Amino acid sequence: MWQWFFKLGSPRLFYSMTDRYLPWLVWVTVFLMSIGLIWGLALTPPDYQMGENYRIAYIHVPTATLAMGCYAMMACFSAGYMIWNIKLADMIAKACAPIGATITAVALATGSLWGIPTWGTWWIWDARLTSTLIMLFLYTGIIALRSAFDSVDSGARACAVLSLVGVVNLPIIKYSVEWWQTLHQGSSSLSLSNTAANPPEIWLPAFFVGFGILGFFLIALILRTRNEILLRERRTQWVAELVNAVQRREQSNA
Amino acid sequence: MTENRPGLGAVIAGTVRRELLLALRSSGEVINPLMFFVIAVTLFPLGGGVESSFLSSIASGVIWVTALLAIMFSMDNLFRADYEDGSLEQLLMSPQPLYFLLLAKVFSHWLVACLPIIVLAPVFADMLAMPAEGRLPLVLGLLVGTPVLCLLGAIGMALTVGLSRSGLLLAVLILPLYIPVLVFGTGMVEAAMSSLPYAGLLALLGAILVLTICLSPLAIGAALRISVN
Repeated sequence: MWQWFFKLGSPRLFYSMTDRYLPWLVWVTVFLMSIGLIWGLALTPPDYQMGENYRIAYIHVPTATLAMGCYAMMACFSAGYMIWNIKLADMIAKACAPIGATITAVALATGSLWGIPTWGTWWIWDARLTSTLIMLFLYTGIIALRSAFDSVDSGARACAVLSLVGVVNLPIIKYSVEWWQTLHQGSSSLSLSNTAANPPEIWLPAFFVGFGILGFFLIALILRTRNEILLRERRTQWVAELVNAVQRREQSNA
Repeated sequence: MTENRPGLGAVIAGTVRRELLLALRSSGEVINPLMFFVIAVTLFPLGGGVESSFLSSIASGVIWVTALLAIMFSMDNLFRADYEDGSLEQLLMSPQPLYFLLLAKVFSHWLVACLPIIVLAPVFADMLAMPAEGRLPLVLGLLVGTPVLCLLGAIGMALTVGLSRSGLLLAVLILPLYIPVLVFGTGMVEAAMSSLPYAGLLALLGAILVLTICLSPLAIGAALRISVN
């Protein structure tokens, strides 16, 4: 009954599946990003209070959301590795860490850039900003922990434990704007249900950019995971055949 | 087999007694965290200025941060020697519940490394010109907060005990997790110094303590099994 589940965890299957669908994902992402960015950054009307500089929200909100989503995803795959010992789950979790750290850094940087004109400061120790900074530290800690181990398996398990411990930070980030008085605004004024403040011409481009950035994240994740698969499975037959095929193609081209 | 197995209470008491005895025999385990705390606190007035208005504004932060660092550095004593002489493997193979053995171990570490710091904290608060109304919340916060620091530090230590050079790595792993405790602990003192109620912050620290007592021994155990195999 569970056979399909474990078959899904086969690195070889992941490799061949992504081989087939990655170009599609790239095209969809390019489509979503180009429409969303041109629409959001150039065509939507300026905000009546913040003027043009609210447009950074089209980058800031999706990256900040994705930074947390990436952590949750990494923790889920870590749990999957710990529970079922699926090697592919650990490879994906490993790929999540540097991408998540970068996205978190982008979310913090865009937030800071937005803060200078609107708050008058680029950094303030409020709960939302501080807890997001902690998440960046957690990502870097996980990367550092993995690189400290010589054994792939021990490093993977240690990182899985640390990722799961760090999950406590996620609800803190999510609810920080409600639990504490923060300079960072709550999410209510940006939610889709608040149609008076957010007419479709404001949130539709956000929708495009959001899914575009998600697509970009998935592309980066898949590419990193594929590299990891090739590295760890380098002694297997199918990787050797793959390398031979590439070499033959290069020779015939030359 | 099972009938001559000692009860849980006896095992916990035995673990605590063993840990305390080991700590007392090698007195550095008791003295060094305390001396680090004392010396590090002394550096701040010497480096930053001795005006009492300046000192009182940084007092709670200095005491909390140095206590936190002292505890983090002391975590090395918790598993290192046991790992090297093999008693950690015995602990993991023991038929007794690992959860309570680990809690007992961390509790004895807290007694040895943290309690002296908590006792000395009000003295240093006075030396840093902290107003008298900040003293009680400082001690209460440390009493509730430092066990959390020990339990979280034990997770980081358990993850890195198998590595040969783990000092800075441990700091990178667990200092981010220490931040909430630091924020609430210093927040209590700040609140008391501006005559605001601090019971809510103390309750939050207590909630964090209950959560870490419930969950962290599971993570410590899982991490130790990874490090030992």
